[in-house]
This record gives sequence, structure tokens and C-alpha cells, in this order.
Amino acid sequence: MMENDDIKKTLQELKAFYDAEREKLSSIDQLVREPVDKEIIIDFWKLSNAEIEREMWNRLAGLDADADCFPGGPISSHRPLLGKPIVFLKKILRGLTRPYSSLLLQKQNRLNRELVTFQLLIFLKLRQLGKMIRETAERAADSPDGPPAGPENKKTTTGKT
Amino acid sequence: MSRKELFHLLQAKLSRPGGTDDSALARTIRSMLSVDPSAKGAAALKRLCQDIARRRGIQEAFNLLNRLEVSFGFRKPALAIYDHTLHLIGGAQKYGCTIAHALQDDFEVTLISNKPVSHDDLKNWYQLDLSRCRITVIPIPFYEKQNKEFLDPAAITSRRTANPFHLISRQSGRYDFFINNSMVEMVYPLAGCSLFICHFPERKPSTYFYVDRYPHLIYNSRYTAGWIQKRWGLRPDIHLYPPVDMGGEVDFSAKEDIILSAARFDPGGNKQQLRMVRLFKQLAQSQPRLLHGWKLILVGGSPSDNPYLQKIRQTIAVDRLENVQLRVNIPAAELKGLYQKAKVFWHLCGLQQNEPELVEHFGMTTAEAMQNGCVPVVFAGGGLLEIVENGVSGLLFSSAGQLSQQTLDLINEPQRLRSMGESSCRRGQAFARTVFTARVKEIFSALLSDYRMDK
Repeated sequence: MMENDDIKKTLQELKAFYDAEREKLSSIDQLVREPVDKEIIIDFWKLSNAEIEREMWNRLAGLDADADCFPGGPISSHRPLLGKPIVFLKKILRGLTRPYSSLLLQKQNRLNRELVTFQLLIFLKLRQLGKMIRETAERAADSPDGPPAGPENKKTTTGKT
Repeated sequence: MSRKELFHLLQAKLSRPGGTDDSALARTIRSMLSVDPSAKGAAALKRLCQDIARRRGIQEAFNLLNRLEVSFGFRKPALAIYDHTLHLIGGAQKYGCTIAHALQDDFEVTLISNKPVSHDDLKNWYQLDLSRCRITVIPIPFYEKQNKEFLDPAAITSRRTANPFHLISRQSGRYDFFINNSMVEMVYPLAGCSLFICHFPERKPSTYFYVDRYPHLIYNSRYTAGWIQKRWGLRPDIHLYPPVDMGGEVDFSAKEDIILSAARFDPGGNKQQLRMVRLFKQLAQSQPRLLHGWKLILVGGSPSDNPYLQKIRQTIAVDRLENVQLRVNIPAAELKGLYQKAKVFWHLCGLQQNEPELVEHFGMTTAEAMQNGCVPVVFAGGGLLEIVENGVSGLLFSSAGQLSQQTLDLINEPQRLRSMGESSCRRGQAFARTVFTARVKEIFSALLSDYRMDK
């Protein structure tokens, strides 16, 4: 018969084993054996003002990150045997087309930068307008036609104050 | 049922499409070990764990073993509370620390932070002795590079950036219970039992949203619960009002003619202190005799460079409002003193706001003021509707005009002001720390009983 201590020991040993196994796996997907991320579709028509502003800002950050269209990083290949020749050929191809592609990409980059900056300015302008409208509405709401009724300006039944 | 029969039953359960409920599985395995705790039983457990790891992942096998340890009583359950802003003073942080304080005797509690914070800091900020809790600091490289004090989850706008909070997700899998008190929806829960505390759903589900993976969702007010349903399509299941502990002896005869406001000087002006100044000025001008001797005191925390606060200072100086005072970043004891002196408490947050997050989600300072016998005259919206019983323990308004009128009426009727202050004081006790602690113990006792498979 196994005593409680033996159950405890078994559990501890198994836990140590699975803990070590846990450490070997780098992603959460592997730990739970299913993809944890799902595509989230945003219904833009149902967003509130603040949410629209947040989305605009996020999209702007995305545009900004993508504005530079020059190829980034070195050419690489994951193929074990053909990899090296492929990389070599790609480098030659890139070198040969660089004079033409650079001209076009520089032009595209300039346009992208201008567009991103312009979008940012529209965003800031909208923010300023929103703030002005809010402040105006607040002032209008706080300026009643007359002061609130209190003992010093409540009308008496005879019409005297 | 023999060990062999139980083993086959478990294998059948595991192989069923869609799997079986974790609790049912753990219960059957515990029965199997209890029925036949021989070496054969241990071998069967090993094989079952392999099967679970193969079908459902290593984490589930690890969680099962954790649960069995607690169920057999081999150790105390381990509970972690994560807060990415634990190193900063705040209401949500106090909420989490008070939970830790309530549970530290029954659980091995670990507070997970991303920046260094000490037991002494937490004691000074919240007057809580958390010496039986462990603090684990896990720096997040993505934010360390930014070298900022505040880790902003909103900086992760798309999947271009790998989820930096997966470090915490992995850590969560080490505990029996994991509480996410950080409002970071990007932490995937891996513990045996996970709870997400929602102080308000500020963002719609976006990149790396995992709140739906938490079996339990705690909400701080019914207002928040409503918005969790609307924004996230989730139904929160545990209601826990924040702890408010500003109470004490109230001497109504020592109260002075003070209207108090206690709210952060939010740089965006969400707490509307500037508006309070304008309204008080209008009141004082229209009712000089009635308002004679009355002061408006605005208390709140603020960063050093705050344009909104500057604007308020400027308005007070330009209009020479000698009966309006500003008290910025004052200690808690001084604030308590002001609560005890003030007769009326104003709170405008939410007035004329379209965005639900700009309405008070609960209204901590209103409850604090009430515990000290101030009569709250507050905006009729958000969590404030749950705190103030209109006409009994305070007054609710929907417009600036109504606020002015209600305040004048109160000042004009000292007897009503006094009796309402007494009711307000009684009502404030409903949110006291003792009530909070009792509720936390009740919730976690039920969760633990289920986890341990007591019944």
C-alpha cells in the first residue's frame, strides 16, 4: 500500500518532469496545444468617439511603420542545400535592379511620408476641433438664463423678490 | 470501481471529442489514486498525464498535478496577483493588495509586478501589512527598453509586435490561482483557476485579447458589469465593490461650511474641477448672503506639469476667488481631516460625457466622503448611482443647474443637511474594508472548495 507520502512523492516527481517540459516549450500555443490568437473583426460603425480616436491612432502608427518601402534586412534562405545559390542569385538580381528600383522607391517613400504626416495633421486638427466643441458646450450648459432659485431671488406670491 | 475500470473510464473520457470537464477528470483521478494507491496507481497516473499532455498540452497535465497536491492537502494553494502598475499608487492597486491581505493566511500569495516595489511601499500607501506575501518582479524587456515608469499596454497596437506579456502568461501557469488585476487583456491565463478583475472595459477586444479565457470575471460595480457585456460580450460572474476605509468617528457639530471635491486633477479635465469653480462662483454671486462664509476646496493628486491645473489656478487668480482653495497632492491624513470638516461633497465626473469610460466606474472618493458624514451631491450616472440613495444618503443631479439648486436647498436647510449627513455616514459603511475582506474570503473559500474537490 502506498502511503500519502508516496503519493506526494509521485506527484512531486511528475510535477518536476512536466515543469521541465514546460520550460522547453517557447510558445503558449504549444503549452496548451491550440492556437491562442484569433482574428478580431472590429465593427467600425459601432465605435464611440474615443474608440474611433484610438483606432485612428493605431492605424496611423501602422502606416508610419510601413511608410518605408525599401527592402529591409539581408537576403536569406532556409533551404539546406539550395539556400546558398538562391541567396547568391537574389543578391545579383537585387544589385542589377537597384539603380531603377531605388529611384522609384525613393519617390514612393517621399509620398508615403507626406501622406502619413498629412494624416497625422488631420488627426490633430480633429482633436482640437473636438476639444473646442466640448468646451463651448460646457460653457453654454453652465450659463443658465437666470441664476438658480434661492432665498435671495425667489419670487414671492406678490411678485416681489 | 477498481483501478483498472477507473483507468479505462478516464481514457474514454479523454478520447471523447471535445474532451471532458477538468473537474470531473481531476475528481476521477483522485478517486483512482484513493482506491488503489499502489505503485500500479502511480504508473496509471503517469500514463494518464502523458495522455493529457499529448491531447491537451503539457500545461494541463501540470495543472492537474498541482490540483491533486492541494486536494490531498500536501501544501497550501498558491495564488498570484499580477499588476503591471503595482509600483505606482492607485485605487486598483489598493483593490488587489487588499485581496492579497485578506487571503495571505489561507494561500501562499505572490504579488507579481513588472517594476521593483517593496512591502514597505505597499504598507505606506495602503496601510496593509503584506509581510506574508511574496513579491516577484518580472521585468518585461519590451518596456524596459522604453525606460518609462508606466508600462502602457496600448503601445501594442498590432501583431507586428510580439506579445510582451506572454512572460506573465507563462508565469501564471505556476500557480493554482491566478488573478489578473492589471487590466492587461494580453495575459493568457494558464493557472488551474484564473480570475480577471475588470475595473472598466476601456478598450474593445483587440490584438491579443484573452479575457474570454478566464473562467471568472470580477467587476467593481454594476455599471462596469453592464459595459463588460456591451463591449466584450462577456458576462462577469463575481461582484466585488472596492474597499473604502476612510471611516472613523464623525463629529457633526465640528463640521464647517465647506463644499469639498476630492478627485485627481486629470490633465484632460475629466473630473471637471474647473467647472466646479465656475459653478461655485455663479452660486456665490447669485446668493451672496446664503453662501457667505462657504468655501469650495478642491483636493486631488496631479503630475507636476499639468496644464489643466494651471488653468484652474489662473481662473481662481483672475476672478479673485478667495473662497476657493486648491490642495494638491496632500497626504491621506490631511484629506481625512478635510472630509471630516466638510458638509457637502461635490463630484461632477460624468456630467455631459458621451464616453462611458469618462463616467465614474465606482466613485471611491464619494464613498470616502460619505463615511465621514459629508452629503454627496454627485452626478447621476455610473457607479455613483449604486453608492448614493437619492434623497436619503445624498443627492443626484443630471445638469449643472440641478447641482446648483440642490446645493442651495441643502445649505438653506441645515436640519436636512445634518440628517442626510448621518444617513450618508451609515451608507458609507457598506463599502468598508471589513465588508470587502469578508466578501473576498467568501468568494475564495467557495473557489478553493471547488478546486480541492471538497464535495
